Amino acid sequence: MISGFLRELGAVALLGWETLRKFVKGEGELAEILRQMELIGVKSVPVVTLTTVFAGMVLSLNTYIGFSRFGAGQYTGSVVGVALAKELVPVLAGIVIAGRVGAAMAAELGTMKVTEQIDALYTLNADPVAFLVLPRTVASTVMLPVLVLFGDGVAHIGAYAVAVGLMGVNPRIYDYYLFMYMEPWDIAVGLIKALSFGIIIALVGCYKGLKAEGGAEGVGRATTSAVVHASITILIVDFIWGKLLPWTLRY
Amino acid sequence: MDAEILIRVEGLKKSFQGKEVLRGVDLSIREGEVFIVLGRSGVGKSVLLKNMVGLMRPEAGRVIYRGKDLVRAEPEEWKEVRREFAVVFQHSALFDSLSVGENVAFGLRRMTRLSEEEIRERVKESLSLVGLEGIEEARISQLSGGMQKRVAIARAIALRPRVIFYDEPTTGLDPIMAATIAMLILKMKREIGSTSFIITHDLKLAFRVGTTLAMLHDGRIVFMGTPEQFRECSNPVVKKFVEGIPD
Repeated sequence: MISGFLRELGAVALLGWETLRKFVKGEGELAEILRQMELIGVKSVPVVTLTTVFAGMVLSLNTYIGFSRFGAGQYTGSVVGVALAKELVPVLAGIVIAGRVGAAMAAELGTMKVTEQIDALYTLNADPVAFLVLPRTVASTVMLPVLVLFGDGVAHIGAYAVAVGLMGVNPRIYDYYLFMYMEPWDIAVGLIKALSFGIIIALVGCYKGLKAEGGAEGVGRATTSAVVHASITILIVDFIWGKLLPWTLRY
Repeated sequence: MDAEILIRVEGLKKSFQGKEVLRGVDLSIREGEVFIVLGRSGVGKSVLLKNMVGLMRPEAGRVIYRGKDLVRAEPEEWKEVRREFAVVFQHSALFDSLSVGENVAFGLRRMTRLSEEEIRERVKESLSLVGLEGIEEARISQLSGGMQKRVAIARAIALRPRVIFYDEPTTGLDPIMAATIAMLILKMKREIGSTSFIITHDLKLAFRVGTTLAMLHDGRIVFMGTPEQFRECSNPVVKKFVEGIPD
């Protein structure tokens, strides 16, 4: 199972390399990239809003409860701010968008594969990587950081509302510790992660779709495994970013 | 039958997971003819077609088109060949994210230097040739199976190809629509002058439009000749197929 996962990861990396080569050569259509940006970005706003606002609220609630046990409830803002920006918002948004967008990509391309639309593209001199994979990858790579930045804002509003409105933390003290301990790098780390998650979601979704076989059942399998593999890869890559990059360890 | 040979297939072999599907197929298609490959379901007809149009790569053999071996052709050479080849797929393979007009214009936008105005005209003309005027804005999901097949033919002929490959063009259609498609195939040959290569198990279609009939069996061509010769052939495989005798 692990060797199969690694083999597929290699195949996805090759697809990524081919996509990059075509991107550098200027292939891919701007209109399609913009259409995908709307589908991936704008249409994901509701689900990202819901996910991140509740993540912010629940993290704020539990952090306050835990910290209050040793009289440090006023530090809630500092911990919540860093955790949301560096970890929770990018990872949760990544996994939620893998479910929404990665699944849709696998299903759409998988259906195109089993109904011979991909073959039709070849016969009409349209390269499926340039025509399908590249616009989705570019759009996903651009839109994930935008969604995460938006999610950061929404999550912080949720966290602030719970800490200040529900648990009674002094708003000036909350802000003071939030801005004292949180650095712009924390947000930047989250955005860099989001960018890599965007690439993973699109490439895994497209790869699974392009490899789909066996009618509706095959498309279903491709869709499920696109979400599972993208989510697992996001968690692994999140750990790699967290451990290997020096600026993520700043405190 | 004095026309020049346009495509020659020599010793084509293809296998999947060790199972040989094509064991050395040989055939010659002359310019302007309607060449039909008949055979039972699962015998490898679609595999043969896909190897001929570059969607699959055979393990051995050659596909010679106008003196060029397509099996060894570079991607750039294939781009040139694809301007002259068009494929009508079994399930039409229309792009359902695009409108009918955009589907028909798809190849024109990528493979020609026609202006938008000229493309619009060509789309209109191609749709009119298949009897579907004024549906450029319709979505693919709004069309019946027969209409989709006709749009697929319109997309194929929009480029005015030299060869049109049809993969089971009448499968899943009612007898009247199947007859309409047969008439359209002949009309395309007449109006555009394309050579047609059809794979099918529909004998009615084969006798209605075919100029040369070939029978694919057990990975090889076991018969090739005129429709009359096919009908009178004493080969037991052909006889069984014509008479519809079960195993």
